[in-house]
Amino acid sequence: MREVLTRWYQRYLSEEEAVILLMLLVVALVVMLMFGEILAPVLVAVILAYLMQGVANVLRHRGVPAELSVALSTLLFLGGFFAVLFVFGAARLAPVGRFGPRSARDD
Amino acid sequence: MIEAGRKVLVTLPEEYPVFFTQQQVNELTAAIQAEMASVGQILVTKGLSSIPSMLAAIVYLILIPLMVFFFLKDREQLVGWFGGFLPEKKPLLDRIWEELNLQFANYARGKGIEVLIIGVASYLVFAVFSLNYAALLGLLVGFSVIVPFIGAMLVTIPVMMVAYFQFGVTPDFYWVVGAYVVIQILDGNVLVPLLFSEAVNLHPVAIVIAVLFFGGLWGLWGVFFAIPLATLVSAILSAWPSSDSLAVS
Repeated sequence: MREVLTRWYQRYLSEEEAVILLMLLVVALVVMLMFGEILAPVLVAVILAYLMQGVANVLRHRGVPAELSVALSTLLFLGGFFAVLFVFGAARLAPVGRFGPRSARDD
Repeated sequence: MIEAGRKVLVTLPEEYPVFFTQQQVNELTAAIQAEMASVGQILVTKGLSSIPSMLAAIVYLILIPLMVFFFLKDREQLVGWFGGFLPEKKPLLDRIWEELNLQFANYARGKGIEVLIIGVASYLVFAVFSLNYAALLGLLVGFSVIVPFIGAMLVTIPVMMVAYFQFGVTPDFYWVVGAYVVIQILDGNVLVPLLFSEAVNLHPVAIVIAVLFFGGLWGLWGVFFAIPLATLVSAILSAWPSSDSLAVS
């Protein structure tokens, strides 16, 4: 039993990087499970920033200077974010009579 | 919609006197009305108690763009701070990171394009048939493609219901549903193979398990990110160093 475990341990955890990776995974999992709800906005921001970084990279490959491409993608994100917010906020706050479907108004 | 449903109910005993008596329908409508009143009460109390969470939502709406801005602007600084905790030479971590980056980029780009195409296409179809709530339904159908397997089925229900309550069982209803089914078939058989030909090669069973697992863990968000998280797991498993593989390579 002990020998099997030792062999398994030596096989998978004998390298420094494997230990680091394991620690990273465990810490990340614990943080996500314990503080996931508190950190939700941070996580959302990280995901959105990652996606917009992709847009910035595309712009840079098209020959736009690096800083300008980051600035452009940031502006694009802020514009899109507040546009969506505005549209949905307007749709939710508006009285149903004016923006509702036609059949509801005709009654 | 509720009004239409009530009308259908009232006419039921006239059209099918064999199956429904007037009294049954009256009892049913009374029960529904009582139910609706209690739902209204719940909504009001919920509305009052949700004021703190609304404030939190407003704070988030300011915080999230701010953080996105800083993450984009100071990316190198932040990544450098995080990388400072790791050793200088990390070929394994670098390899995993590169593979994940590639997979995520492919996945995000593919899904983004798919959401856009399916959402716009179904909105146009709904608008052509002047279906109610065309924009909202189009948005729903667009985002449903993010949820694997289940999304398309779930979003079919509201589409069918709105179409039924608006048109009844008429040729219009069949046209809308037919066009919707055509969109879904094209999505599954043309768009997905085109967009994800090389990207995510996970077995369907693995995807189902990932949806169940992460959905159970984090609810709707878990379902949304089930496929990226499953790729994370598979990349780590395949790249995990073992002394065997080191000896070979």
